Amino acid sequence: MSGQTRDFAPISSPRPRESPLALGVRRILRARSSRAALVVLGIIVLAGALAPLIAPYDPAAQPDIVALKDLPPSLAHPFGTDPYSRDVLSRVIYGARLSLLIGVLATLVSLTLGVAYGAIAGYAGGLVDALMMRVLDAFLSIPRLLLLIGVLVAWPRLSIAALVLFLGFTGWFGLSRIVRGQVLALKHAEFITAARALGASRRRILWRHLLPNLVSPIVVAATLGVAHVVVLEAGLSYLGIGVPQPQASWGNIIQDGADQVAALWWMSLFPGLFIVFTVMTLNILGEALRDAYERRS
Amino acid sequence: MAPVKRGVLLCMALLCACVGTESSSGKSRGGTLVISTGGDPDVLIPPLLSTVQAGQISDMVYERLADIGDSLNTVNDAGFTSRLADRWTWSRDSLSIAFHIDSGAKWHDGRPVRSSDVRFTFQSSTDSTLGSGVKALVSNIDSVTAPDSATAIFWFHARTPRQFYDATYQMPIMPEHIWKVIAPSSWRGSDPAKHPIGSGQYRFVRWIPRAVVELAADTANYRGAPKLSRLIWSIAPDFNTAVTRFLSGETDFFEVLRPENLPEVAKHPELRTKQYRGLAYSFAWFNLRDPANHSRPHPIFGDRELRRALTMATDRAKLVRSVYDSLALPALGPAVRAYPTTDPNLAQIPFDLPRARQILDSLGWRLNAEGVRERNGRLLQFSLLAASTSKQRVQLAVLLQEQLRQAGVKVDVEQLEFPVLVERERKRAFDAAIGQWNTQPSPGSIRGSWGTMGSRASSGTNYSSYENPVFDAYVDSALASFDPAKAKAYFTRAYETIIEDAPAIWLAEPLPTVGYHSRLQLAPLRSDAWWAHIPEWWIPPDKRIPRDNAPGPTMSAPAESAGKKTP
Amino acid sequence: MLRYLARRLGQAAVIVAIVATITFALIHLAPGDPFSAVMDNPNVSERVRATLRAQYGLDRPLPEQFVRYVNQLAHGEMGWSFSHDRPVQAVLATALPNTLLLMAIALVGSFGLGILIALIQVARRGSTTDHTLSAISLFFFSMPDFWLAILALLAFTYWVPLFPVGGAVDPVMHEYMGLGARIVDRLWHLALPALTLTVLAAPTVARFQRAALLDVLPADYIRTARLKGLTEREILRRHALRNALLPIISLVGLSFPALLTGAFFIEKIFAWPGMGLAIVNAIGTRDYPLVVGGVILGSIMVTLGSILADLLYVWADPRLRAN
Repeated sequence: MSGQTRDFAPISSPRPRESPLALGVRRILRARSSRAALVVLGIIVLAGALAPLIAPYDPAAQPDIVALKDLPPSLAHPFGTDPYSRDVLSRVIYGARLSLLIGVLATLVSLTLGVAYGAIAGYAGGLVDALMMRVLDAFLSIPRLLLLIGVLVAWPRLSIAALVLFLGFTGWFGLSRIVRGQVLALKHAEFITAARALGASRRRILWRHLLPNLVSPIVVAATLGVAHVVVLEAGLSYLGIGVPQPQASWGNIIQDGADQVAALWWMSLFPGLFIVFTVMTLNILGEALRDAYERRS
Repeated sequence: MAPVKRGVLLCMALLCACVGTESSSGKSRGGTLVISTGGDPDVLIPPLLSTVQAGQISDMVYERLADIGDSLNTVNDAGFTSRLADRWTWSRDSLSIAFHIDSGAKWHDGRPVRSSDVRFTFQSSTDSTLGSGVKALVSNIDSVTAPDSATAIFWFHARTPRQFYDATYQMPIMPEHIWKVIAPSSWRGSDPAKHPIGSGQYRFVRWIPRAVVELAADTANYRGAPKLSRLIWSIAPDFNTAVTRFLSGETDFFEVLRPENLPEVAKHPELRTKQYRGLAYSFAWFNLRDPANHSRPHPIFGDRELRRALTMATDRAKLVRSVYDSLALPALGPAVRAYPTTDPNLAQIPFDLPRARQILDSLGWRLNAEGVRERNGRLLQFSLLAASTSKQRVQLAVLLQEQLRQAGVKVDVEQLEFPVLVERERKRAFDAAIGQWNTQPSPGSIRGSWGTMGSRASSGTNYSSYENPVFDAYVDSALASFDPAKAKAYFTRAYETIIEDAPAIWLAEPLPTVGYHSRLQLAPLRSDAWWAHIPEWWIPPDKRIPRDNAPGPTMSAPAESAGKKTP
Repeated sequence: MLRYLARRLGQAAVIVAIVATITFALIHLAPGDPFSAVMDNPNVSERVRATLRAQYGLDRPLPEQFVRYVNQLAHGEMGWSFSHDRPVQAVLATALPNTLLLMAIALVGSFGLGILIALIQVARRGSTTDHTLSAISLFFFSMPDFWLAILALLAFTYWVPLFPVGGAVDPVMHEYMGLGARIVDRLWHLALPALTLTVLAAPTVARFQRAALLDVLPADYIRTARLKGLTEREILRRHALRNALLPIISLVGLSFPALLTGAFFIEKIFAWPGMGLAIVNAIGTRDYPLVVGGVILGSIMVTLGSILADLLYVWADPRLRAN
């Protein structure tokens, strides 16, 4: 189940004494739980990044579809093999790569859209703002999975790029509200009026004042957003409208073994554990960051 | 003892004896058969149905004029037993057969079965507005006349070995008085389609889509009441749930066990399995026409040499073993070994990957940087459809995908629900698809699925659009021969022709294995329809379980009352 | 209060109107014509096609189609589901109560369980119990819904066969059971899916409530209570909880989307005949009208849910009620 993004719009001084990134990193490194989370996440990310190097087998290779299919975990295949005699460990490692990549890219799309939408709404104000917010409320009222199903059923054969785009298009709603709040707060802040009076251009204001204040909510939203997308993509692949065969994603692997869950338990267990740990670590880190930024303001 | 008392006792004893004999023959009556199945029937109208489940239910509710025997002898009438027709007479020139309808035959609503029903059934089956696939199969029948209410005469164009088979097997008889008033194009969604009235030994009770179909014994049936009093199809959302319901005792029968289920069944001492020779074969067929423009050949599959190369690149034996283990044989072609006319040693395209690569090279398909073959800017890439409802077909598709990848072919597997898949095939809007035909007892059914007429007719099922007049000629000659040796020779030539043309990669011939509860006493399982003898199945009274004795439904059953779940 | 309700309902109407526009756009942006799935399908009778053509004006210009579409929606008509061969609203109306049942039980259960866990954690804050419970909470929070459902199905219907394998009722026997047996049958089929959804939703509540309680604890009135000599437990129960319960109510409204999403996977895996299963099945059959109908209905549910929660909040908080 997902967490909620809280609407906070702290009004802060124009130049923070410590950059948000440094603050975040320091907070993470301080607590034991978030250090551990960072390490675990790092291992998973590294495994995914180095997949071609460390995966023992080609994830799509079907070496012997008669003798090597449906094997339980063993030394040769630590996570067993699937009904197509593909090595599950290799597929999980490549799955890490694909699922995390999809998560990161989709979140980037969401962030861009969210910031843009929120900034425009907050800046424009008035009727435009009201209308944009109502549209936003409408999107927010549709559960994300449902919206994705609605979109993906219409476009049956999707490439991964398109999947990333659609995932991104459906994840920017919460962030845009926060951004809008920031922009509104900033519009009326005194130092802004002062800066305008001093002749600062709009772009300069945007650059020096707005964006630094946005870094914190963006970083938090990004971290939690990736976690959310990883779970979503797993769910979509499980329903059959996510990553297509023969590419491996965590949800895909569970789906391959969904027919014989009891007999092929390793196909549900290992990818599932990886999803859980990835999401757990991202949540721990995201919340640590949120604590850091909230405490500051 | 006083004489009166003795008399009373004697009477009582006699009475008990009478009651005893009555109940001992009536005792074998009763019991419920619950069949676990993974799919919903599509439509319960005999000329229109296309799912196995619909066929099973229809065969219980409707009847044919005569039924084929277990040996599946389709030539002339020796192998047939009477059903609605209690006798028949051939004309001297053998161009017509007069069937006499059993005088006791009645529809489930009480009306008598008449020869006009037979005539009506034939006319509807061949009505192009109905769009039934049966039309192509009964092309030899010119017409059906009904000189009186008990006689229906079938008139044929020509004398063929399968005249009788054509007249009886293809057309379960439907009640004219119910269907006459509905235009054929509206049959599908109509009310009678949802509550079929037939003359068979089981009456329709209810159908809750995706959940249950229930039939009850027609105790007043003219052929006698069947032994089991209720038949229930328990429709599970997927194969796995269907098997689990069978293993857990919620159902009594499961029709297609997979290799991985067998060890589980072995763990349950009250369950048994039985294998029989099936009439099904599976394949991956190519659309020989361009989906964008049906008058042009497919840009990839229009090339016969390429199709042969694709077949050569596939290790079919391994594929079949991987998916079916020991429960299937590699398919020989569009023919099953159960036919006496099939030569088990048909020449096959061998598995030879290096040679396949050579052929593709020579055709101009060269490997590009990503390992996919290309020719004139076009990639050797296509989509392969598979019914998501059949895990085995999906498996075949994914295995095929990888095997063809070795040859430099890029295959995208697309999973669709079965009805959507059929729709795409019907519109020829596909590249390749995994399919399976559960063939009929007559080897002539091949005309519908691979013959030119099956490709041209709007209701034909030759979705691959394979058209080869040489093949058609061999099949026609085979079907016209009364000599079994000649027929087999012609069929062999026909099969060799189509195997060489490779409009499909022939995959597997499954050996169906059913699972059943040991309390059931089965009758022989007919190869084309294991359910054909269900009315003879019974459960000994001492073995009955609680649900066998549940009270039966009321006679007039509502279709779907409010409050029933429709998932 | 009434004015507030009217205002919120008005906003909700606007939102639903926008959602209808979004779905209309979706229908017509999709490749191919989603209506063609119905119109070209030989399984659909001519009668239905004619009705659809008339209702939606399928050969008319787009703006007119939109007006007709909105008009149909206002009358509660959402098109024809060809995979069910019934109107979409009929399919959803039959399926919705099952989903609501699941969600209602999960709502009550998860909030109960979550608040309980939070109380235990705060009573023993800083101890190993607190940390363990936090870890367990986070673990279940991070689990994909379908994964837990698969594991639950495996564990409790296969390894330890306590519950039936999916469905809402026994498909064969239910019609022939007596009333008492029927109720038991339904409950027995309801137990595992409801339990699973509860376990999925509880961690969010637990984490939220724990944070809310910890926020409240340093407050002045708490210190006063402590000085007065109340035990920790009494403080928690009498003062902290009551004040920390308020933010929980806002969580009720926020949890609707998550519960609905969770219900989707639970319904698919347990074959529970609710809205989620209908829509998931519609994916395979490309029954687009049904999916779109589900989207609209889902958004209405979420909107109404959040209004309900807001009303609850206003009613519960005496400070707000005074306004």
